[in-house]
Parts: sequence; C-alpha cells; structure tokens
Amino acid sequence: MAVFNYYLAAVAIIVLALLLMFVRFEGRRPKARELAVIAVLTALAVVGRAIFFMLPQFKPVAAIAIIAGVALGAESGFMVGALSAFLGNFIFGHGPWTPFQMLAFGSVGYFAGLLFHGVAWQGEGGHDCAVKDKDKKILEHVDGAKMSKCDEKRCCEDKKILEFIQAPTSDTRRIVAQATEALSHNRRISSLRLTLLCLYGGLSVVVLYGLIVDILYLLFFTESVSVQSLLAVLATGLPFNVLQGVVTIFFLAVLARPMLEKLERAKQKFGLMQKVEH
Amino acid sequence: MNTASVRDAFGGLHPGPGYLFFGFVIVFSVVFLHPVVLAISFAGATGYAIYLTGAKAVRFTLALLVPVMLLAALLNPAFNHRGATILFYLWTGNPFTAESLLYGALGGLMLGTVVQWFYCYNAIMTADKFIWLFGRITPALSLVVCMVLRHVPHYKNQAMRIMSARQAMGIGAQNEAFGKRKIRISLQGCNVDKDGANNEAFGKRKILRAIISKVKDSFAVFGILTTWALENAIDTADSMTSRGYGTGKRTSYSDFRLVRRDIYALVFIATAAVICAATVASGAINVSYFPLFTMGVKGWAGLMMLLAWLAVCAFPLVFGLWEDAIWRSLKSKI
Repeated sequence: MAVFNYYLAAVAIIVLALLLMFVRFEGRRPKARELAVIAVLTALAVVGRAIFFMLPQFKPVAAIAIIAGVALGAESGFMVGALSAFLGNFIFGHGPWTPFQMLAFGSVGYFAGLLFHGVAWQGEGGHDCAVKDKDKKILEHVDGAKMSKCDEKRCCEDKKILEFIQAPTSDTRRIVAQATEALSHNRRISSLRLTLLCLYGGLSVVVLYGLIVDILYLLFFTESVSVQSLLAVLATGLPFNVLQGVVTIFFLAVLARPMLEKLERAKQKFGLMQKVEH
Repeated sequence: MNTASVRDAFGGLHPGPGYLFFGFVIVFSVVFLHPVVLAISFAGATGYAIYLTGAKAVRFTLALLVPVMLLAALLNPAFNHRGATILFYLWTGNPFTAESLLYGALGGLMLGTVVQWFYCYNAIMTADKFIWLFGRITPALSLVVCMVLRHVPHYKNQAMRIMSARQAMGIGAQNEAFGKRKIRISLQGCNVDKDGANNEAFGKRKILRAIISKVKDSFAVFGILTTWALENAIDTADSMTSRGYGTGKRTSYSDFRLVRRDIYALVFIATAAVICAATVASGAINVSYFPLFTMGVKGWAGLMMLLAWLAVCAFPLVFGLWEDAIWRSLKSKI
C-alpha cells in the first residue's frame, strides 16, 4: 500500500510548490499588462499544442515556456509553463499526471528565466551598442511618446523631450539615430545565444521534464520504489523524452528568434514589465 | 474550449458537491488498495462514464484503460519478488509470486479507476467551475485563466482569418499545393503518365515539398498571430486599467447558486466520506498483500463502510438515471 501513499505525498509536495509560486505571483499584485502578456503566451502554447495534437510529443509548450522565461523572467516562465499544462489539459484531459506536468513545464520555463533572462539583450556581439544612459532615456521617451496618453506628467515630459529632439541640433539627431540603431540591434538574438537556448531546451526537457513526469509512472507502475526501478522507468521513458527534446529544439530554433524579438519590441514600445513605477 | 456538451443531473449541480465528490472518490481510491473498494469504485466510474459519453467511453475503456491496467499488472511482479506463493522463476532467477501479481493487478485497477474518474471529471467539471473555485482565492491567477480560456478559440479564428488573408494575397502554401485534394490530383496526374517510376518519385517529392511549405506557412501564420495577439492584449490590458483594474478587491462572477438539492448532495457525500474514513482508521476493514494475501471486513462497521462507499460511487449514475426517469415520466404526461 505504501506506493500509493508515495503518490499522494508526491502530489502534496507538488501542489505545495505550485501554491507557493502562485501565492508569490498573487502577492506581487501583477499589473494588467503583465497578466495580459502571460495570458497571450499561455494561449499560444495551448493553441500550438492543439494544432499539432495528431503528432505524438509534438508540442511547443516547453519551447514557449522557455521563451517566456527568457523574455519576461523566471517567474513568468514558470507561470506560462504551469498554466499551459493545466489549461491544455482541459482539451486533452486531466488526470493523475496534471500536477506533474504543471511542475515539469513550469520548472523548464523557470530555469530558462534564471539562466537567460536579462542577459540575452545586453552586449550582443561586441557591436557598438553601449548607449549612454542619457541617450537611452531620450530613446525610451521617443518610443514611449507614441503610447503614453494616460499619464499627464509623463506627457509633459514627453513634450519637452520631443521639442528637444525636434530642435534642429545635429547632435540630438545623431544620438537618436545611433540609439535607434543600437536598440534595433539589441533586439536581435545572436546565433550563439540561440544555440545555447536550443541546447538548454533539449536538455531541460529530457532531464527536468523527463525526470519529473517519469517519477509519476514509477509511483504508479511499480510497488517497490528503488534505484533499479527508477532506472528502468527512466530507460522506458527515454525515447519519448528525447523525441520531445528534439521537438523542443526544433520549435526553439524556429520560434525563439521571431518571438523574442516581438516580445522585446512590445516591451520597449509599451514599457512592459518595468519594475519602476511612473 | 470546453467540450462538455454533456448535460446530466450530477454535472448540473453546483460545483461544490462536484469538487467534494471527485476529491473524495479519487483520493480514497488511491489511498486504500482494497480489492472490493476498488472494484466498486471502478464499476461506479465506468458506469458513469458510459452514461455520460456512451460508446466513446466504452472504446476508451477497452482500447486504452484495459491494456494499461494489464501492463501495470505484469510490470510489478517483474520487479517485486516478495510474497509466499511462488508461481515460477523468472529468467533472472528471481521468483514470480502470486501475491506480487495480485498486487500489480490491483495497482493497475487503481490506476484505471483514477483515470476513469478523471474521464468523468473532464466531461462535467468545466473550466467555469474551476473559476468558481479559485476566482476568489487567487484573483490574478484566475483572471489569467479566464483570459486564456477566451483567447484559445479567439486565436483559432484569428489564425483562420490570417490564413485566408494570405491566401487572397497569393502568399503561403495554398498556391503550391494546398490540402490533400490538390496533392491527390497531382498524384493522379502522375500515374496517368507512362514513365511510372520516375513520376512516382516526382510525386513524392511534390508531397514533401507541399508538406514543408505547409509547415513554413503555419509558422508564418503563428508569427503574425503572435504580433497581433500581443498588441491586442496590451489594448485589453490598458482598457482594463482605465476601468479600474487593480484599484480594489476583485470580485468574481459565477452562474452557480447553491440550492436545496446541492446542500443535500453535499451532506450526503460528506457523511459518506466521514463514515469511510472512520471505518478505515478503526481497522474494521483491512487488507494485506505480503507475505500472504489477507483481506478482512469486520462486523457491521466494515459492512456499513462498503455500503456507504457503494452509495457514493453509484451516486452520479443513479442520480442521473433517476432524473432521466422523472423527466421521461413528466414528458409522457404532457
């Protein structure tokens, strides 16, 4: 009988872990925009999983969770991964595997955020993209002036800066041109980073996702939880996990660059995910 | 998003009794590996699944559940060699015991039971019931859940519109060989030709090219969808903010009202749960597998527990059939 209590214990631990993440998320009182972007990515993952449902293991969930983690941070990556697993199961069926999948996809996104978030956009390829702080601020306002209609104070500031920019000084023009070029260059993701990301994607799916989800089958199928039976279950699951790892690498190779660029653009254009309140 | 087209009496109840029922039945089936308890639970779940979805549930049970259950039954004795009754020796030299086989079979039955209950759960516990449960506890999270539930069909539609727009512009996979029909036509055209072998290879290459261009096109559509979705979401978020999102405590709307029969159902399930838990804790019903299989139901308490368990497991099915019978009798009088 002990085995099945192992299962319940595992579920209890996982639910607690998920709850901790969710409570943290709630406690942060996330802004509407942050929620909206997380919802978009989650929905894209679910739709992607539904589009490819006829091909076994061909799901972009891990890839999109990783992209979310890279672009928006570890916590958002976790939320996107866990929620896509959970909501996707409204289509594909809930079962004893739901909490395990949630934790597995969530942690794939979480560690992607820890490893790649914030690093990905700085100092690309040694190009002259060291925009000075002042220039950066100007640029932010140029980009931001298009959207911020709500904040009066900010509008005034924008006006001032726009006037400053429109003044026919060659110096300002130069700064803006330089900064614009640097920023657009910054949005691009280098091949090296893309390769690293793909590598991480494949490894994390095989190791993290595979381990977490296969433990479920260990708890369900064998009575004696031992190293031997764990290895046997892992060996059985390995082909599936490797297949999914390859699929994730494929999705990352195809999707990572355009999606990260789009997210970065949205972040710059709309001032998403900013820690500083204005 | 929710494929719950099934309307039945139990699914029509308030989500409260539903969550209590599934929580209790699934946890109790997992915790207590007793043959009689599991058999009752599996019968209840299968009966209800068949009542809900008919032939689909039968197919699901026979094609998916039974093989998995058999696999689980055979897997356990291969790894676990405890038990007194040795049937034969495996090629590894380890004994294959009857107790271990039985244990594996019951483990498989347990797995099948849980999956079967989840099958019923998927049929009647829709996402709006989930929102009812979590809307007040975790407002931000369930807001995301709500948004995603709305986005999924929305994005599917938008993807269709993007595709037809691209088609109208003459971009995309459509113009090479779109869909199965065109591929088949091109294949037929090839077969008519004299040089069969050569053309067959040509046809295959054409199919491959069609598939590749279809995949490429899908990713292009996905990219366009992403840009559009992000802009759209920012619009939604700004509109939410301007309507006061985040300024106060978030309320949650739900369509469910707790009426008298929901309370009856709640009380019924809760009473049965207490009886079952108390009997198992007192040891009036027990089971042991190793080294020898023994199973005992002691006195009235044990019997009462089995009756309560039977009543709970049969409840959704009986309730549904009962309501159907009432409906039919009322209809015939009109």
